Amino acid sequence: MVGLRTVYLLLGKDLLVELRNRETFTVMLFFAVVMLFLFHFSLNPERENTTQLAPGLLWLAFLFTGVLGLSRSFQAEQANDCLEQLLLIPGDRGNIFLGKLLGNVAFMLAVELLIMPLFALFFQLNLWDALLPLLVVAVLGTFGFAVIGTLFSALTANLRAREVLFPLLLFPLVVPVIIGSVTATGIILGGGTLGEASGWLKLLGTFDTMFLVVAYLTFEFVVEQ
Amino acid sequence: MIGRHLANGLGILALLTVLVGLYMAFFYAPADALMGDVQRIMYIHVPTAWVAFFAFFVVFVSSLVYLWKRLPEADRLAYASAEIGALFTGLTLIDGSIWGKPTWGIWWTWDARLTTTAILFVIYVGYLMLRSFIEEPDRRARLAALVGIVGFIDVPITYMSVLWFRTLHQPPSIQRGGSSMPDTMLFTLLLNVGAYTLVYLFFLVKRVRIESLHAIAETLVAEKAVHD
Amino acid sequence: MTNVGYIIAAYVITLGALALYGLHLWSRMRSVERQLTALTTDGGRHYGRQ
Repeated sequence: MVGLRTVYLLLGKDLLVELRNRETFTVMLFFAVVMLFLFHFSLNPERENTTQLAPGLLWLAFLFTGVLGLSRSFQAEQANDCLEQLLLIPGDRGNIFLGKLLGNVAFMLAVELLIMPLFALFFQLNLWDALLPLLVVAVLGTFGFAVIGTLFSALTANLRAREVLFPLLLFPLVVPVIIGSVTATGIILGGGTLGEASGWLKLLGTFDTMFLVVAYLTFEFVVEQ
Repeated sequence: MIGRHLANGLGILALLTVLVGLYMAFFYAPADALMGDVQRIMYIHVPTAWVAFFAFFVVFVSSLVYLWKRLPEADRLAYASAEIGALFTGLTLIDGSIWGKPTWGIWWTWDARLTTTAILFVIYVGYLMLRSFIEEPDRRARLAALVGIVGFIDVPITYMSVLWFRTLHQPPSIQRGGSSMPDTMLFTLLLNVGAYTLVYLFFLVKRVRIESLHAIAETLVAEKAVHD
Repeated sequence: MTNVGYIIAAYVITLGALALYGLHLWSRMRSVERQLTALTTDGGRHYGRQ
């Protein structure tokens, strides 16, 4: 049913390309650092309100950095008409989507794993104690964001106004992911367990599953020639 | 598709129903026990909100039909409904804001319904802007249809997440007409909902017709260019 | 502003906007119909000549 081989090959290709020149990754990382600096100067968080602001700021950093990586995910293919070549692979076009999606999720998570210690450092927060639950939330939230992000990145890839259209189309649709991720992160940073955040995790899980199916089924219409 | 006279008849019916609805809103329905006369805004705010979401449903269905059958009529219907829907959504936000000021003293509140409406408005705008940036009709129709479909599926889940978020951050002390409504009010409300739905349908028929005629004009212009 | 003022404002704005949109549609309809008439009579003449 799902061409796992295609997915695996595509994911491997993207990871290999990125490992070789580390372009996108480096840009994303430094952009995240800049964002953290901006947060400090614009909000000047004191010890007291840092814990209140932290979940939102952390996810703002994740998402704005993520948009950078996502918007580039199909642009690389434009360069040498790679997309046409990819479309020649027999089987469901949705597999191309899955391969791209997993690559995007992997990149975003990798950057997030580096943002977290920096965040903890700059804002004197202890993220280490709650690391595992935080990672669970990060994976669920990032996945949902990347599903819509990958689909719309492909959709806007050829358009002249893609730099503005992509975030404009993306952000309103991922409001549930933002609400779920930030709230769950807040619960965990406040000392709660994953169980206490379970309602929000279920929201994220539902969103992720639903849109994974929708995106997988509609991807072929996006890349139609 | 729909005859010209039938369409105009629809328009007259819509106008009449709106007028009757206005009369009922101001003179037939009683003032609200708690909120007084301000509550009468409900008779235009709820109908515009209903149309805003119903129009998006129409965008959703016609987008599905387009992807399946590739009928240009389906695309025109989606576009027309999106344009009119965006208008009604904007009006819903304005009415909601104006209702908020005398009732709770604030111009904006992040309650679940108003917030979801605001997000719907941005999705509409995104849809229309996407369309404006694509020249080729087939590509434009296809990509717009995708946004319409994904966007519509997202609205209910957005509403629920905002609702849960709100119950966390603000106890539901503010209820909008939560208590049961006397029959006179309900009847007035339903009639006004019907009235503005007729207005929407009238605009829809006209707007689709404009697009069809426009498409014919384009074909004729192209043919002329070949002949000359 | 009194409370009645608020309701009147809401209704005026809403109905006004809808009326304006209706006028906008009407004028667009007229202009596209005019364009079509021009094109068809023009095209008719052309075909006639050939």
